[in-house]
Amino acid sequence: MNAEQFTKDFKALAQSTKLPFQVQEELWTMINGLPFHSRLFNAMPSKFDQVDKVISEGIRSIYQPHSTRSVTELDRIGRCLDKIQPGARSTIPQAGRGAFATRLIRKGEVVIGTPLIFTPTDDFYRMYQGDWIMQSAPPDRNNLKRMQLIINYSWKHPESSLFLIPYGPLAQLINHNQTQANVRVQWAKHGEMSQNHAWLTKSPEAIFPSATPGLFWDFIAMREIQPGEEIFLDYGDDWEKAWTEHVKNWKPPIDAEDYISARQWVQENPDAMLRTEEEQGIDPYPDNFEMRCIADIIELYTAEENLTNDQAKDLWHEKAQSSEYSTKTSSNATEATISLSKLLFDV
Amino acid sequence: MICTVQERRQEPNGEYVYKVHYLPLGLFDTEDVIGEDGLVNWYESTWIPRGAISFAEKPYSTDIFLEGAFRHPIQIPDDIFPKPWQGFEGTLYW
Repeated sequence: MNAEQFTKDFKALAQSTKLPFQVQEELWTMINGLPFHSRLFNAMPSKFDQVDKVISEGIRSIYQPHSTRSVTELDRIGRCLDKIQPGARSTIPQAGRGAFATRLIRKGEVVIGTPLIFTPTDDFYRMYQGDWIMQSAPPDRNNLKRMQLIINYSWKHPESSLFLIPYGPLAQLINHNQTQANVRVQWAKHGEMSQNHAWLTKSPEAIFPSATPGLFWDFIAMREIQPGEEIFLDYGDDWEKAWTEHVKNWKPPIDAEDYISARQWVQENPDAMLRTEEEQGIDPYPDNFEMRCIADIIELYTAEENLTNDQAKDLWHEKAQSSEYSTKTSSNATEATISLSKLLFDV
Repeated sequence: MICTVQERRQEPNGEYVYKVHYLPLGLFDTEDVIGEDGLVNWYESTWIPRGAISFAEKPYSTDIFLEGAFRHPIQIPDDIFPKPWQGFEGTLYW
């Protein structure tokens, strides 16, 4: 159930039971005032006179105007997303990807911004021993295996258990470099990008129940940044110390030399004959491999027994063109149709 | 979707086709996947071409999930950390 469907169902029910207009309005106001936080309630039109618009034009008609801004307003309070771009290789060895300036950025300029969500403790990151894939048993809370990787992208202060997690684009690509940091973070101005300074004056408990965003950081250039230059941030002394310790003590697994990723193996062996489960008892694939099958092809072949390869191609083409298939694959319909068709035709 | 090859056959044109056991998409509830006998309820396919089968990384098998892999949050600078948030210690759910 989504907010649009809920609104339609409400109106249909009100009409079928011949509820007077005023009662409908009061009921709608009452539902909107229920003290529950949910995505559905959050998305529902707050005013009853918006209900007919939602029914005739969809829920987006209510919210789309809020998302449209004039260029003047964007210049004043918006944030550019194209001053930096991802680079496949950081200038720091083994740091993976990085963020690089696309143009000259002046000292004091906002390089990128990001909204933040918060979590009161590290509870959210903890992964206990358990069957994470099949979830056949509850995790063993006495056996903490590791923290989720997202903790490396989260922010924390030593004097609090609270975590802030940026969820805007690009900012997460900025690597640590204590000696060459060229950006720092600061709170956005009150009212810009939903930043609510009142939250900074309250205890965290007071802001946890909020269903709307209220925290936004800007990454500010500490000096002039040249086009193509990598963006660096100082992750803090604690981070630097922890990383130095980690590098000093790290020992790779004993079988690290033999490791091959499934992705690399597939690229190098696209047509290799596959071993059966029985054969793998004697000659197994590496532990990190998981065999996957393309659901649509299995369904197609299973539905049409004794199908020749050519017949399957024709049927697949027909299926890929049908609206039924397009609906099933939603927004990725075109891409999925093309890639799966190509895949089958290549067989 | 996850599958395992059960049988392999060579076609007259030299290509191999396979019969697999697979778990249909959408079976996210444990009871749909694990039978009363505690074994996985695999579905059986008919003969399918090589192009329908591939390999992916097993979840949690890449180096970022190794035991002892680096985990540390970024430090919120002192000068922007709100005073009312200092000393806050939340409660773990577990």
